[in-house]
Amino acid sequence: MKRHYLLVLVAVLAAALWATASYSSQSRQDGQLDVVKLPDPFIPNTVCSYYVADELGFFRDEGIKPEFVGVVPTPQLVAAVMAGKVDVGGAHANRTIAGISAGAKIKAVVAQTETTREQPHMVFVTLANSAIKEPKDLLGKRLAIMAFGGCNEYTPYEYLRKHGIANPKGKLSIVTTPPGKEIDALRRGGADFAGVHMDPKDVQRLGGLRILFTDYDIWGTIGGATPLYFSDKFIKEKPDVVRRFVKAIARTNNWINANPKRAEQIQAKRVKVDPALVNVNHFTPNGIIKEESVQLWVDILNDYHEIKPGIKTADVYTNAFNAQPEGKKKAKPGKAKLKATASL
Amino acid sequence: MFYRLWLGRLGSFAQKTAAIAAFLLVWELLPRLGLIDPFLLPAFSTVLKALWRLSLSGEIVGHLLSSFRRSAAGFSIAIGVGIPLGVLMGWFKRFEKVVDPLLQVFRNTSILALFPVFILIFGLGELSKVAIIFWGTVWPTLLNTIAGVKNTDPLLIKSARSMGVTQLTLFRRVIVPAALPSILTGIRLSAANAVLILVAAEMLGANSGLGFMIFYSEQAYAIPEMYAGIVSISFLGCMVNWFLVVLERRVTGWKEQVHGG
Repeated sequence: MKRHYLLVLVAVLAAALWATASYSSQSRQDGQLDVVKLPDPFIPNTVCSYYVADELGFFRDEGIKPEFVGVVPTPQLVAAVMAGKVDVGGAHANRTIAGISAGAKIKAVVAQTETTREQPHMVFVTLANSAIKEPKDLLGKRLAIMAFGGCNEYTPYEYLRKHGIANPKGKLSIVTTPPGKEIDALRRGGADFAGVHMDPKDVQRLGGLRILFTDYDIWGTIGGATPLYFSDKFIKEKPDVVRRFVKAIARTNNWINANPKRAEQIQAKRVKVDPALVNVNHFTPNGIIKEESVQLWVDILNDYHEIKPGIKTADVYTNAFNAQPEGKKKAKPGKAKLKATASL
Repeated sequence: MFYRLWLGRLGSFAQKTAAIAAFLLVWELLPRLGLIDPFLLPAFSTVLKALWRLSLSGEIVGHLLSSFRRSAAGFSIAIGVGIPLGVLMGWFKRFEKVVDPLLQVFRNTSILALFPVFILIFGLGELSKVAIIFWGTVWPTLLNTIAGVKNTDPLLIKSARSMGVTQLTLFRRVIVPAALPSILTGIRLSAANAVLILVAAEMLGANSGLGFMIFYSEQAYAIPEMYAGIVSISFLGCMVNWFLVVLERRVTGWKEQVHGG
């Protein structure tokens, strides 16, 4: 009797371990479609290309079925991709670079947002009646941002540096707030200026605020890259899925740039908010990752000793999975099938 | 014979540390054998190295002091309020009847759910962190004090009363000493809570402290440092608990001796 109990226990444990292991790493196919696990966006009010691509059927056209696994907080995206909980991660390029420097085996394959004058990546604001007028007025002031490091912290430092203030780190007093609460902290006197990822138009609409600078003022268009990445393991095992995913996203980028209002509506419908509250970024045409946008952050992170020296942009991203830009003929379907069977 | 005593002590020590040693061994081996990616779980030795580096540079001492200051402040206010209020509530039945339902509501509302309220009222500075720790730690002390007072042996009270003592003397000499074991248990639970809540309280608006260090390291992908912070908090919690157990034993032991004598 006792022996049976033990056997049953061992069998149950083994089954549990096998199930969890296979669930997270097994390649899944849903009928004819390849499943790609995607995180739901952390900030629901900004247009998410996953939702747009899904809604318009761009994923389906490439034989991909997206599976949304829920919201993953930005700091945990790299770990989630490494652990196989999601297949694709995003967020600002500097997080990807920092993750790779720390040993994460991931690679960025397709570009997402980029900065424009009208739609910068980050906006730094103060109260309309604030005494802050010039860059040097910022020294010693309290900055409300949602996290240390990354674009939140280094954008103001670089702004100060560009205006002649050497060694800006330590010259600002940083107050971290929950995401979305930076302006609240500013209004309640908890900070003197705040850094937010918002559309300048929405900032003006909030009222009572003055924009000090945006990341466009510092670096033009190259500071706001948010490329998507897969784990090296996924890329090695399923390069064709990666290729098709990149193609779908590149197509989505171009569509969103051409139809921003409709993109906002799709997002609003998906997350059930008023379309007027949704904003849309500018997306990199054809999803081609720009070398300067990655090199910029490698240099910045190196300057602040946040990453190991010697990281090259080739370690961080590749455009090899990007098919021909839209307009040219699609890749021959026969060839693609051959490639797929060859890799099995 | 002495040798056998020494061997016995060693055996008992081995027994006590066996489970922890096994756990640390698994922690060391899983990433080394590639069963878990070392990016997600660095080997224990890597974490120890990070901890050593942080200690040498003094960085972790600063965080430890910050955390300790905050939790000590919240905790002292909690027992400063919890014990007197508990004694009053335990003794004056009518007072308790009126106040208790409200306190039950407060106590059963998860502290994490109340975070936004604390931030709205106290902002993001030190005060809100101390307030959060106070809120989370006052309940065990308060409730255990009430229970301790209520469970005072009625015989003791009656015999004291029969000797004609004043109310104040009754409190000082009979009720509080009788409730002391309960109160001390409450204090110990509160202290454990303080360390737990500390981490949550330091997630927001902090720029020092062990909880802050953990989340900062996570964001910077300094994973060994993150685990070093976690190990430190675990160590801090154990030390606080051990200290209070020793204190409890001393104070209660003394009390028992008096009774026997």
